[in-house]
Amino acid sequence: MNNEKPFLDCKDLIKIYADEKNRVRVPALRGLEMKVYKGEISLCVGPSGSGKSTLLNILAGNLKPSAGTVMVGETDIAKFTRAEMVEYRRKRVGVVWQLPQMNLVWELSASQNIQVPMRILGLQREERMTRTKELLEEIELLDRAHHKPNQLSGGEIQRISLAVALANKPELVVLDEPTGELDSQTSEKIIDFLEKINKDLGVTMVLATHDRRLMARGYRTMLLVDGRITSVRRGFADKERIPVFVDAFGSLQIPASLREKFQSREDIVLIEENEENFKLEVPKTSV
Amino acid sequence: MSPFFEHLKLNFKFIGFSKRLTVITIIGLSISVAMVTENILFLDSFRFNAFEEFQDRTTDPYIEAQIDHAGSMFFGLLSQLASSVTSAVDDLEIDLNYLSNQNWFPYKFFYLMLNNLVESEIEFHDTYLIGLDTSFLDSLQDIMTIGNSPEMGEYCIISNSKTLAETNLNISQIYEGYVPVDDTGNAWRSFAEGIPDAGTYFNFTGIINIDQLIFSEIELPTQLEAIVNMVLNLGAEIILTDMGQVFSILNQIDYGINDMSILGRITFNLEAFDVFDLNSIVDELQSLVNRLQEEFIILLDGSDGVEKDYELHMNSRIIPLLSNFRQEFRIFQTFLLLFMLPTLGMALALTSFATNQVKKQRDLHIQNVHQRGASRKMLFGFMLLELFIYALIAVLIGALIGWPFTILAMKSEGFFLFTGAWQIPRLSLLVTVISLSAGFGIAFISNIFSIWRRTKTSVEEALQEQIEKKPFWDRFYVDIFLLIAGIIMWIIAVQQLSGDTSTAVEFAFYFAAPAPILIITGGILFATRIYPYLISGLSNLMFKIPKIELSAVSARNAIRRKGSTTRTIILMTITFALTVATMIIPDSYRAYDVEDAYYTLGADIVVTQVDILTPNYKETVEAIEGVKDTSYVGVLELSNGESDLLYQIRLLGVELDNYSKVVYQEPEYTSGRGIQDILNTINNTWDVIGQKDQIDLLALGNNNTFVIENTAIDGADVINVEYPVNIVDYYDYWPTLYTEKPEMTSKTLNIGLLCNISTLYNISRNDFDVQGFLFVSVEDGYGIYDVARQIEITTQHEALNIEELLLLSEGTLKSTVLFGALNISFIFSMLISSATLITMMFINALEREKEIAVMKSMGISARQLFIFFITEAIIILTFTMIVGVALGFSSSVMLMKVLRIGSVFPPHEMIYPIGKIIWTTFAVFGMGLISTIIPILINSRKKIGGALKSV
Repeated sequence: MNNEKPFLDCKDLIKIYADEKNRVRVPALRGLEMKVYKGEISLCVGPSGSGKSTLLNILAGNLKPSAGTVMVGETDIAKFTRAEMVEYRRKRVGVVWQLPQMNLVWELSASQNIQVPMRILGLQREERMTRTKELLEEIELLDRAHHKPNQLSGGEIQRISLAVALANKPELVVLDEPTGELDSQTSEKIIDFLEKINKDLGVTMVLATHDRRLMARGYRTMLLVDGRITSVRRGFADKERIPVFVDAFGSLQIPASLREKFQSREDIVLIEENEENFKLEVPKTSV
Repeated sequence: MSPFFEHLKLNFKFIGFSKRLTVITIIGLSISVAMVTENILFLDSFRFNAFEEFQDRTTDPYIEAQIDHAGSMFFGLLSQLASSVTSAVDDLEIDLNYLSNQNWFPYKFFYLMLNNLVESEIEFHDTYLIGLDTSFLDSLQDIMTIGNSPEMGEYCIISNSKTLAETNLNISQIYEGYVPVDDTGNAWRSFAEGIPDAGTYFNFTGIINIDQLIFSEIELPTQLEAIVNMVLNLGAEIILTDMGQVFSILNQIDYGINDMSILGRITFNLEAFDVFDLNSIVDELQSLVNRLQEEFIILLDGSDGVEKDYELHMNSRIIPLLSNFRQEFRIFQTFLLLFMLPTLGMALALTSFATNQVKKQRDLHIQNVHQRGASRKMLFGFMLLELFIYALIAVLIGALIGWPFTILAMKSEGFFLFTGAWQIPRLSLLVTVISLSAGFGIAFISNIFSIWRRTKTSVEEALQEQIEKKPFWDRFYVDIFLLIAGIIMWIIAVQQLSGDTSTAVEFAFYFAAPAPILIITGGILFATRIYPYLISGLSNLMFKIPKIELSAVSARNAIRRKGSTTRTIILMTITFALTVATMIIPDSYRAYDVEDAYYTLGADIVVTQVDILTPNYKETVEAIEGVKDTSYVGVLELSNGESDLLYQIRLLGVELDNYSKVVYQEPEYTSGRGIQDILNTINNTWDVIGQKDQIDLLALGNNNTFVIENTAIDGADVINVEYPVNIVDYYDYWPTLYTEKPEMTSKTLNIGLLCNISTLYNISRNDFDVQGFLFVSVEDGYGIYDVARQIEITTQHEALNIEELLLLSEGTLKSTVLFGALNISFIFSMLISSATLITMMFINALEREKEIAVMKSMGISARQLFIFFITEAIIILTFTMIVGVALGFSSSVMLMKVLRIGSVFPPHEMIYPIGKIIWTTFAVFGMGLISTIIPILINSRKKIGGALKSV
């Protein structure tokens, strides 16, 4: 167990959407508890409607929870006033959404897009230019600085989006399916970039994803079902150890190569269970 | 640099984010502002020009004071009256420029004894003796027909052609004149008293023929003109001399001096009046009249304490004139505004339409900037500055369109039919500033609320397909309310019209004028409500027919984009409705105008002051080239009193055999029988024809005999004679004779009777009482105006004619507003509609890039794609055409009814220029189609890859 104080700490987080007109209330988060440590990359997985987007929107400073606390560093963003929230979005959080058009202004070039948050902050030109250049170098797209989004590939667009999110040196970066629209190769590249930035800048990242490759990298993975974190697992970065995953329905998902080795599902038996892990006995049958 | 400048720079970047938005918003705003600017400029210039026309048409804007039995002290009184006017004007601080001049003079009624050379009889002519300043008398020299202007103690006379031709009136002869000795109006009684007891001798140094003065169109000096106008109002013959002579001559007559009258007239200079300040001018003038009345009474009462028996009558002609103008203008201003409001609304709708079209893209921008830490206030500031810049550009473009358009509208005589309103609008800087800032304000305010709402755009909202709210009129049933209100107002108006009193007519006008506008607006909005249901039904039907399934998808597509479809329907329907109305109303109104002119005049040409008994007159006219037929018409007007009811009898004597050849007639006038058929029922001297409703009111019983009374001269006595006439037939309407519907409640009853022309002479006291006219019809191929002019030149009689009358009516406010409002609304509606269609299709082209790419990737061919989009356009255009044309027809009928309110003759059938209507309607349809086809062609050529990648 990690005894360090978490950087991001959500307690009893509840968010209920109320549609006054149709007198319908939809609970999206039902007492969510979550901890993310400083400089960590943590994943949020779960089926559609489990509350991922709501959680991310709360962390991004776009939504206020109905109840509960959201400690980011030393402050509870759930108690923020509107002005504080603006300040939070401006300085402390960066966001990358799944759809590229939500991250970038289509009419501006890559470099201009990166400068938008800095301009909002009111950074001087000199500082802005240096920082833009740094970021473009970081994402290795210095040569594409003056290209507009429709002249860039999907991966490049997401890298620029990441640079935009990082523009004002946020403590936290929230990413909503950053690889959702990309092919596997590009995804790998983006993931590498995320890791690199995480390492270089020490920024904390929360990702919502369905991407198994990300989960396989051994980050702490929180499974969200019905507005609650139902399990916290660590993926398997070690190639020696084969990653498996419990899906939304409680089923065990294992790699296809492994699946082929089993004859029957009934043969699997739970033989040991404690706080940290459990052991299954799977009779191996050669085909 | 401070963060402020960084923000400002970002702000300008923000404006540049979307070129589409910039272009579209500026187009939309510019049209709105052009509309506002044009409306204000037009209304302002229109008012100015209307007042100028009013000035031209209005002779004698005056306040008049008539003092009867003024007594012998009038000499001193005249100057006192004049100075009390000056001091009153001074005290009330009325602008001295308003005052043109004031004239005061004494006058006295005389019977002037002349010899009628034709009948060799003595005649007494009603004549006024007027005392003028000698300087005025001198200035008469230029207009003398015979002889010279009088010196001190001498006389001249103003008479007419007829008197000069038929009597012994001439210069250097002595004539007898008598003052009335009692109230009987019998000149013979005064004649019996003799000279000097009841009369005096006149010897004229000069004669002015008033007819010649009118024909030769001599420009008179203003002051002289005022006096001539004034004396013309008094009577046919006027003797002019100096004031001293009036005083001395009346002193010699026993019955003379105490019955002296004084006439004073304060004439105003309408040109000095500010048309935009009429309210206060009317108030000022009213207080002047009140003040003058008080002052005059004090003056006339004198300080001696003796009771005087003077009578003071104040007549302020100028006040009702100005009030009428103001009221007439207000009515038409309402009418004009009501008519222009829908198009103005459309222009504004276009603005929000344009901005709404790129809403999704904009929402993404807002979300993006929001996410990066921009506050709502900051965003609002951004968009405010953006709007400010757009509105400013729009104002400039709008003014650039609006100003020349106004000038064009006011100047163009041919297209806009503005007769008389040909001047470039003389506009003050203030009006320009007001119109521009109003345009700016409207453009700004109409968008500011949506901006504030937009700043809230959250991530979800930006991502989601917006669920379009129904427009407010749909939610609150405004369309149905407007329709019902319009229909109710129309029913009330129609009911009021049958009430016949003048207040009812005015009331009806206020109710009837907005009704068609409400019905058009309500109808169009209602059409947008039913459109989706109609299309659903239609597409369900189309789905069942194999070959047009694709069109069914397209039809559904037409209702998917609710907001833009609704706006297109509104704009196109109004364009179609206005197109049809513009074709029908002017033609129908023109036909009405022509009938109105004929009904007022009676025939192509009417020659006035004709002596029917003069031999050869008719032949002289008939000899003129272009004259087809002629017929004498005599008019005798009598007032008969019965207890407290007054009969105003107008006897129209006609030549039974040829009257129907020249007079204007419509079948409705005689219930389809024709005028000749009715005239044939007159067989005896005492047979007359009456108007149905008037005779009904008389309740004559079974024998149908109506008794006319008139005075007759029996030797030296005046006696009352009764003439019983038999009403042998009835007419419904008769040109020149039946001009007012009879009112049950009125104390005066107008009775128009038709009889043989000889009957008039049997009833009249003397031949002079019969006013003679010659009705003339003109051969085809000859200009009516030219023939009339020829008659005037040949016979020296005034010949009124239809063409001149029509020209006069074309210059009226009613016709100016009608044609102006219609044409301007039409043009603007066309402009806005085409701009909207093009904008809409332009945006569609951009917005649908993805949609088209998706369909292409599904394998749709270019031809199918074309059909897909064109079906949508054709469905909308056809629907709006049907609704618009129906609304155009119905509103034209209603508007024509409104325009005819107050006219007596039966409603003429509407004129439907079907060819023109079809032609223009299809032109609009074609314009709509073309503006749709071009973007479709561009769209269907787009490459799939690029289109799919667009935002």
